[in-house]
Amino acid sequence: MTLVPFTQSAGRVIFAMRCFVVVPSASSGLEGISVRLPTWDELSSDEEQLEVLEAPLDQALYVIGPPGSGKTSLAVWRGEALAELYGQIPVITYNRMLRRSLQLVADDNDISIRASTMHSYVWRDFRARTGNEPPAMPKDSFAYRWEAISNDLVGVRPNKEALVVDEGQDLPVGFFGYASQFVAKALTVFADEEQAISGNHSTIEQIQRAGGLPDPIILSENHRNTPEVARVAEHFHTGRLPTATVIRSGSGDVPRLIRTKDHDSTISLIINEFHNRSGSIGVIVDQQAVGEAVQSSVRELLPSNRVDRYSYELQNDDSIDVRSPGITVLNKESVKGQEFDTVFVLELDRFIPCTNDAELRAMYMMCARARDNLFLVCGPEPLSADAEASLPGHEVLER
Amino acid sequence: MFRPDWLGLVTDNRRLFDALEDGWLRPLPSQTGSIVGVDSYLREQGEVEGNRIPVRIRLDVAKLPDLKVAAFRHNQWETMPLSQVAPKEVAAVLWPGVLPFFSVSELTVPSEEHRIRLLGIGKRISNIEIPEVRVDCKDEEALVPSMPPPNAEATLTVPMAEDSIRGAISMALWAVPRIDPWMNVLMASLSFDSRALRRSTSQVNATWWRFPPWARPLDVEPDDVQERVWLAALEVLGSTDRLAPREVADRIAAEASKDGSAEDGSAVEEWRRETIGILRAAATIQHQNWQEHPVGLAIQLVLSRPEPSAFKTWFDEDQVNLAPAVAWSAATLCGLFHGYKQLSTRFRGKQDQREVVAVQTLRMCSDCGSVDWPSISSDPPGWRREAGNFVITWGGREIVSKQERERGKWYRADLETEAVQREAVALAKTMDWRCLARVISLGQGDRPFSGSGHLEVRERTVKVRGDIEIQMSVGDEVEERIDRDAFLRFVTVAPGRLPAPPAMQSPIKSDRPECRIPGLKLVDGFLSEAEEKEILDQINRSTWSCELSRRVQHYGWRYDYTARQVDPSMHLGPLPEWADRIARRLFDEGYVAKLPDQVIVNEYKSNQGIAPHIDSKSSFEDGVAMISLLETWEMWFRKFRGDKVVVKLERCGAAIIRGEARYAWRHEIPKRKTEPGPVRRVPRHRRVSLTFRKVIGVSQPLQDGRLVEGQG
Repeated sequence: MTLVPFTQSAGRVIFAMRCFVVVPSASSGLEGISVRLPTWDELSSDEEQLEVLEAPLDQALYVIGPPGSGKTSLAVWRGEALAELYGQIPVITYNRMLRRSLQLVADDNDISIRASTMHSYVWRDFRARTGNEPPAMPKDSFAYRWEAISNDLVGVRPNKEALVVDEGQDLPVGFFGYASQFVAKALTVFADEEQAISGNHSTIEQIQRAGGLPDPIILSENHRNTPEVARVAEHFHTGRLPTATVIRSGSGDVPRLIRTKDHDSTISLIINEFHNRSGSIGVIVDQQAVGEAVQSSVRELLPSNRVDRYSYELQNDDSIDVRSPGITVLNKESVKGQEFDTVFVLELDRFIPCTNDAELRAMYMMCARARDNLFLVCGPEPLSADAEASLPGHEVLER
Repeated sequence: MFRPDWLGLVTDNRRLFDALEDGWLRPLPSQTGSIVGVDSYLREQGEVEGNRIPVRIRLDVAKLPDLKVAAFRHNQWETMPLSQVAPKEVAAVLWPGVLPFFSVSELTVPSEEHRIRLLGIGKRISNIEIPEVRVDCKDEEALVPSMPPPNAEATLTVPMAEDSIRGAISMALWAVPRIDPWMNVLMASLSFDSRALRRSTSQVNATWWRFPPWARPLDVEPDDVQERVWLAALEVLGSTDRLAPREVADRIAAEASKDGSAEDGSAVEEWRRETIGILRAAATIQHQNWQEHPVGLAIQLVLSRPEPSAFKTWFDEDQVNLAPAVAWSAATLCGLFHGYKQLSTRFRGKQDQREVVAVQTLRMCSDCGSVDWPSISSDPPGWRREAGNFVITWGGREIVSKQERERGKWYRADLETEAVQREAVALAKTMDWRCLARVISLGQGDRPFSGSGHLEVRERTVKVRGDIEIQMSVGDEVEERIDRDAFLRFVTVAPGRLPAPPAMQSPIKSDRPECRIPGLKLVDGFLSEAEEKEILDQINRSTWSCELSRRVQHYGWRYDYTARQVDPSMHLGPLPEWADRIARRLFDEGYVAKLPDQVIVNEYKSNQGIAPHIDSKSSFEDGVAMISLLETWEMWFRKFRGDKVVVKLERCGAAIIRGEARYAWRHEIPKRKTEPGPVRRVPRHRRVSLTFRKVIGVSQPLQDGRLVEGQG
């Protein structure tokens, strides 16, 4: 999870989620924001996702899921469907990407979706109904006094059929009460408890109660690995994490541990893979300097292809289309929610042996980024005996 | 007469998606057929589960074969042909097997909310397209028969292998190289014509296609290791086992070396090792092996690209150098490996294709091959060219219509035409195709020869014994000509992206510019190469004026670039001999109405050009001729607010503008460093242009200083 400052017009800085969802420039709307679309065969084995999609539009819906589970893409989908049904639909989100995608969908289909932040929505809505500004804390116009707001609106009935909330965990509980009581007949809320970042966030249960929501549908991280890749990822799985539940029906090659003798031989692996398969390749490194060196060597050898480096410092997440054919160099902090056809994990000696849950989690996350092919690369330094021993067996990870 | 119009059933969205993915609506698990309503809807199961969407499906009886069905009449089940089911008496029939989705004529859901939700889910799935859905809640449902249907055997079943075969055929149709000989291979393969297959596959150097993935001829044995590997690949990739790519390579290798020689065995083993190396990123695919190991290469491509969707970018962007045989074989194997259900909709073709391929595949690979489908005849596959497209027909239907590409155009280009011949020679040289023959053309006369051998002429053949040397005379030439058959073979089989042949270039350029610019006349080869050389020698010896950024020479009259005119004081004297000769030729051959008396020589180097202009209307008569020396550059013409028309000023050619072309179109030479060549852009060096014009109003001064009217 990466936090970036999100400046509000009022001059106050709020931290908003950076959402690593990619919108290819050529497409728009739903397809654009979604992960690679599954076949029906694949989707039909993903019961939770399907349940979300089949949820009736005239009823409340509550969805919980970690990053990479496709929540934002489902929020666009739901917003689009609701707008088509009801003509006009408010969407509450801080997520820039979501707002942009919704705008594209709305423009393309001549439907009306209004995406706004919670604060501005409540301000406008309350004012439209009462003619007044919503009551707020004396020294903080951003902190609404929900109880006072409720009192002012006694007797007011919801005037919208539906309202969609994304990143609900970041909003105050009071808002959900307000939305369900006075704004919309049925709420659709997407949230991720683990991601909560603002001080006044709400828990899953608080949101459910205040918003009059049904039991949540809980999505798991929705990457589609071959069974072989999934086996390596699961080796690093710690108890608390959801495991990769969606496994592709086809079979792939067993991931491989490769020892390279120097930088050049590592680079030639990456280049070979790109020549053979094209597609998207993720190269995960630990040290920034290594990432820079890899990027510049690869770029030299593939001058006319996409070779990007992607990091929090560069703040370039929405300018890169990581899913298009090409090579993306990134560090372990930036891999969340990403997906590549092939993943190379370099500097393996710096990632293993894992000594705590956080390190295991990092290994799990890195391995699970690979759809089809996974290479763990070490060298020129040999792996320590401990590191070697912490790897999965030969049947799971070829040497 | 009593025949029902439609059959109907009520099911849910998941069953609908199953059918859309597959093309067949299969019976529920553990059942051999589906109970459907006759001219009415019948609920397939009880209430629709959970939040699933109830969908009513209406099937058009006119598209279904007339099978024997069990009909529920007078409270009992009776067997009768579907065509004899009387809708008034029979509420339900048991359809004996799968129902084709192409017979669906209408889908309805109970409410707008259901419709939006259903179409919305469809948008999230890559391999289905939901047809139009209507909202209707009025139609009443028929009553479910009070007795369970008899245990009838299914007559319409889809075997396991069908999905693979349909996938292979669909991909083969999608990827077939659009060139005549390849179309012939496809047709022969789809119609199981083994003689035509033998002939057509040898014409494209792809004899392994004698064994199409969908038709294994039993009486033909593989001839070489490529064919053995291909057969092994069909066996392994066509099986329903889901294998990892490395296992596939191992199995194909084992299968292929089963009955072959030791030599073949080691070749296969080498291929296997190479393939494993590729899959481990230790080696790269060797595309240059397209002649030695086309099949091995195709399999490596399939194994390194796990999804059919990779083929789109693969062909269009990163592997344009694939040989047609390799690309087509790989795409077809990929379809075989993944099967039809996994194919995204873009590879499935249009509705007609889906319908015909579904039925034809069933005819090929199941026991129900003899079932008569009313909408699809038994016509064999065929193809024709129509309005720039390749059109494929099958079963009496047009199933594919795809635009002809550059390769296909070369295949039927008229190589007898000089321009085509010239470009073909250039293409062959650039691509390094060994298809050029050298021809000595000798004019009339005797030629002495020396050397120890001797010559004999018999039946239009010069027989040479021993070594001889013939001394050529002035005017004798050695030319390179295309060996037509060899050239067409390369066009058919060689890798690489080809430019379009001349006069068959992309639509904007294809119609001759003369048609688009009234008054423009292009004359190829107006000068001979010898003349070009002679004129250049003269020009190079003369003095250049450097008043412009480019060098110029003026003859006859000097043109004032600032005043944009010519006046009598600017007479420079008569045209030099070479210029006078060409001016007279232009006049004599009718290209200009008056004898030109002014010539400007322009020298353009590299990125020099000339801005858009119309030649001075007040200074020069109608009829301006431009002759190009040394290089072929483009000239752009544009009429006021009109589109640009690109005109190639061929080396040694003349371009004459009269009337509208002269007065209403501005022309320019773009400032740039390269020009489009036959294969790729080529750098500009030097082009010399000769412009012939007739000055208005002033007549050529005679020797004694009097003026006379300009000639003719």
